[in-house]
Amino acid sequence: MFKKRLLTYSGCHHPPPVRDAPALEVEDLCAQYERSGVAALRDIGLRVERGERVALVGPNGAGKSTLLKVVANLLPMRSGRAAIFGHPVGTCHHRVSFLPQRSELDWRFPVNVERLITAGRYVHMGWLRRPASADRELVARSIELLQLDHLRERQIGDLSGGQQQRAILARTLVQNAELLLLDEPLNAVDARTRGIITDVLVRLKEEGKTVLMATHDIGRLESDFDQAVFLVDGRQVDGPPNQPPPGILS
Amino acid sequence: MSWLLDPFHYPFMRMGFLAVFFVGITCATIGVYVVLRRMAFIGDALAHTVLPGIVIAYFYGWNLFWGALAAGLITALGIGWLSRRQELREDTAIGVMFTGMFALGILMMSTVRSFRDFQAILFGNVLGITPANVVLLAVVAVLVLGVLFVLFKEMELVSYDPNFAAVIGLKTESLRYVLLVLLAFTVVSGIQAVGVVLTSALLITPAAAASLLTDRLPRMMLLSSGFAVLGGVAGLYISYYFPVSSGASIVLACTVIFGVAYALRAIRSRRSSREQQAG
Repeated sequence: MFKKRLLTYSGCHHPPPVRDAPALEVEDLCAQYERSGVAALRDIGLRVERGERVALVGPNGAGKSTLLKVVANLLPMRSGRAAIFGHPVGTCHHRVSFLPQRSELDWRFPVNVERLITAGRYVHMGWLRRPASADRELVARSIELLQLDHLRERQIGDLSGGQQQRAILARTLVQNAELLLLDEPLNAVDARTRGIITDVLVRLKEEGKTVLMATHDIGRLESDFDQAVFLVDGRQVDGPPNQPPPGILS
Repeated sequence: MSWLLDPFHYPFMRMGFLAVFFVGITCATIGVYVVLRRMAFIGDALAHTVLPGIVIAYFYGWNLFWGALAAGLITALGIGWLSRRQELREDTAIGVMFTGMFALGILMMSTVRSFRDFQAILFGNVLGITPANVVLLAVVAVLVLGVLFVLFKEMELVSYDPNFAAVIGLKTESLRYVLLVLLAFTVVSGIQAVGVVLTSALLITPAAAASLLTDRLPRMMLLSSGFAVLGGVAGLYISYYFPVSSGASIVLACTVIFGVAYALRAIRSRRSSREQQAG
């Protein structure tokens, strides 16, 4: 126990989920941009049951990415509450996987596709450990699933936009987390990548994973998601189930 | 062949070769992160801001190494603290610390009668290095390389995707401080070889040359170390056979290596684009 505690990145033991707690519960959540102090999210309330797929829908600047980042513990809450499997955010690192927007990575850094994807296993390895054969096997499976086999040795900077998106999604999957936070995975990708990612989302549903995904794509809300949360200017707006309020994306 | 072995007859040259070896591998390895994370300005700033520490150590008769190290650590932590919440951009924080500390050093130096006392610090004097200082350089090399090795996967991840690193529980700010502190140790050891003015060249030039020739991080670090040691040894030979400054010779030798790497890269790119056109 002491050894495990010592080696985890967070410095504490990974707690088990609280019984019957939802995958994510957010109450009266407010957040602000640190530099400007401008409110980014106001009074957000949200409950995501285990195994649900929830879409965060809204125009640019609505607060979709900010909400995902608060849940991922990248941005602080100003007030309110957010719990993941019954625990405060930031205590279940191994259960939460985050897919950032592509522009947030330094793609010029010398790392190949396989190494980038292997980083998804780091949370389970912790300090000082190197990937074991089980980790490598999961990485190989994820590479195959995202159809990146022929690119595994390629530098991440030499990939196309769609390939980059698939590579970071593979990293998100390889973490084997129970709650996946996906920030616009279908944004600006080619048709082939869109098809592959859509298949992956279906597979995640079959595996009972919980997905919270920011998206602009309102065409497939009903077929691809169990619930949709609509945001405008950092506020949650009500809409008919799985139907965005008129003009929300205009 | 005797011209190759001649310098080794002298203890000061043997110490010099050992010093450039330790300084070279340390500067060049951490230098890869400096280049890839676009921190070149920090290396230069750290080298300059150690000046007040050196002058204070000189006043009190302490070992200049420890004075430089103390000032380097204050600068590294000061830069990290000033830019921690992104209220100030990092390069602005560096600019403030750099100029403030350097001005303080100059002000303190102006109270000393002779600038010659500080010449070795400003321009380096690797040939005057003592065995005790070589041991210090070796300890710094083991410390810096050891920490970089142990934290390799974390430093790599935090360098290209700090957000993902934070989501999995890594303290990205702490890792940045670790890198800055290691950089302070490295710069202080670099000053022993090439002086305040030229230390950033040892951090940047070999790493920049290596980055032109490979896109694998571990290989880049090895290549960069090789270039730095080669430049250091070549510089020492030049200063042995010609009456020129050892620090400047080392830096110029590294610059020539960079030029060769740049030419090789250009030839390789031209060849591959020709092959693509033919294919």
